[in-house]
Amino acid sequence: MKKCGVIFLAFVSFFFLFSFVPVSADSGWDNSYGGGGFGGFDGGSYGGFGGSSSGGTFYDFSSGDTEYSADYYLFEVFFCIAFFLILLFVIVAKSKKRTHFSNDTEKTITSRSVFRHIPFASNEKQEETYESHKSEFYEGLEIFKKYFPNMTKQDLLDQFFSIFVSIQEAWMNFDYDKLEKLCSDELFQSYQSDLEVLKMKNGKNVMHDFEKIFSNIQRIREEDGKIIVDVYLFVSFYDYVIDANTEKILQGNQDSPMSCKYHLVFVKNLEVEGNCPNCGAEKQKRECEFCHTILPAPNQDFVLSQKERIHY
Amino acid sequence: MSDDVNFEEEKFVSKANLMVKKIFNAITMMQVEHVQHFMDPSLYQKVCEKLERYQKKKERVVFEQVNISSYVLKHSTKQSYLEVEASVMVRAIVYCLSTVSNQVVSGDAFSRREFPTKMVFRKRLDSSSVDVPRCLGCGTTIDVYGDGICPNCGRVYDLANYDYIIQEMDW
Repeated sequence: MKKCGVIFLAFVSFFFLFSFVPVSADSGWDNSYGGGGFGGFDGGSYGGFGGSSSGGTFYDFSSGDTEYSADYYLFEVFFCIAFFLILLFVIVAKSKKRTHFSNDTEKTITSRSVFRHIPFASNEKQEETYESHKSEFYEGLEIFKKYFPNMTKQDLLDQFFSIFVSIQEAWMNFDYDKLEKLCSDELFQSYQSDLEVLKMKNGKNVMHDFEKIFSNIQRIREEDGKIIVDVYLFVSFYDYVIDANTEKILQGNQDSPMSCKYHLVFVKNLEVEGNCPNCGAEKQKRECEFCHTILPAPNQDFVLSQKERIHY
Repeated sequence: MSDDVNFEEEKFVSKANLMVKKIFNAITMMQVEHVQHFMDPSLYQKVCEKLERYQKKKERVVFEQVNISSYVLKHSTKQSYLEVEASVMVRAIVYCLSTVSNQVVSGDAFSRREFPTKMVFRKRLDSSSVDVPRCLGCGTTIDVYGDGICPNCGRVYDLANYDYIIQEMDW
């Protein structure tokens, strides 16, 4: 409905301006375009309108010179077409824009929708999704109050950020023990595998100066004796790969930090099995020190289970 | 919807991610025998044959910084197995190295490319879950997400008896 209204207004503007008695444009015209009054529109696209017209010299946007064509109407026609096309572009671009993780804790996005990138198809669907997200939010709030009565949301977010930074540092230093403690078993296996390839290349991924720009808890749930927390993290840090011997930069930029948005999932076991299921000995690592059975270590504290970079 | 009553999408995606990543890394490290248990024997055969062709040309294919995302799953039940067809997006740095000069002969060794991939996972209908994976030959516990080979008798763990394995994979 909103889109139709905007399109209708655009048409009205088109015809209204088309029938106007032309007035002289001032030098501020060019400036107002340069100011980017059309939101995300790239001023560079105006280059396409710098072509010839049927009479006289055409208005040159880039130089800002205000040379008028004898044919005012032609100029206005082109202007109105440009205005209308810009409006259409903005509408189309906004409609294609994915749903962002927002500051509004009531509208959280489930991990399932992150994996599948399900677009919201209709208002009815949006309403349905919103209601289900709202109930997830209140459910999460209850779980948070039950298991973390002495913590605030910020305390938890700080803890998660600390885990994230420790993992990056452990990755950088090929510290498998630390990675094993801070990651879920599957994630640890995945990182171990990646580090083997990096080692084969004689590479080292250098990361430092982590700065949290923004983070938020998206969802808290309790499943199969675990607490699972979905977190959105927007962070900046220096990240580049060097040759471990020569310290030559192989990938990335050591002079400017990069900003990344992540969807992280942290998991904590509520029912901790501290003993090896094979021999009964106390188990703290993946590999039992006595019988060498390799099974996931009990995660008594929060560990990172998934890390997905968000590209929108 | 899956006919597998124990199917949990998040767990499946997590395991699938790990299996696929390990396979790509094993191809890179030229240790595909360490991921044999993740693959159907026919797929393992195809992978070995493809790698042999590279070896004959004195090349090796390298996958780095592999990241798999955007799983879209399609479930079906066949005669004796459950099947999950997964369409995914793989992002990785992919290139070929000469095994003689160690120089890049094709591909881009510095930037990731994205390519859609289709994989088919299968699990036997009569499969059973197990808490502690053990070698069927000697009973030694097995690290399933390690190399899947019994450290005692060298037997390859038959994951197909317990969980999904990869039946088909484009790469």
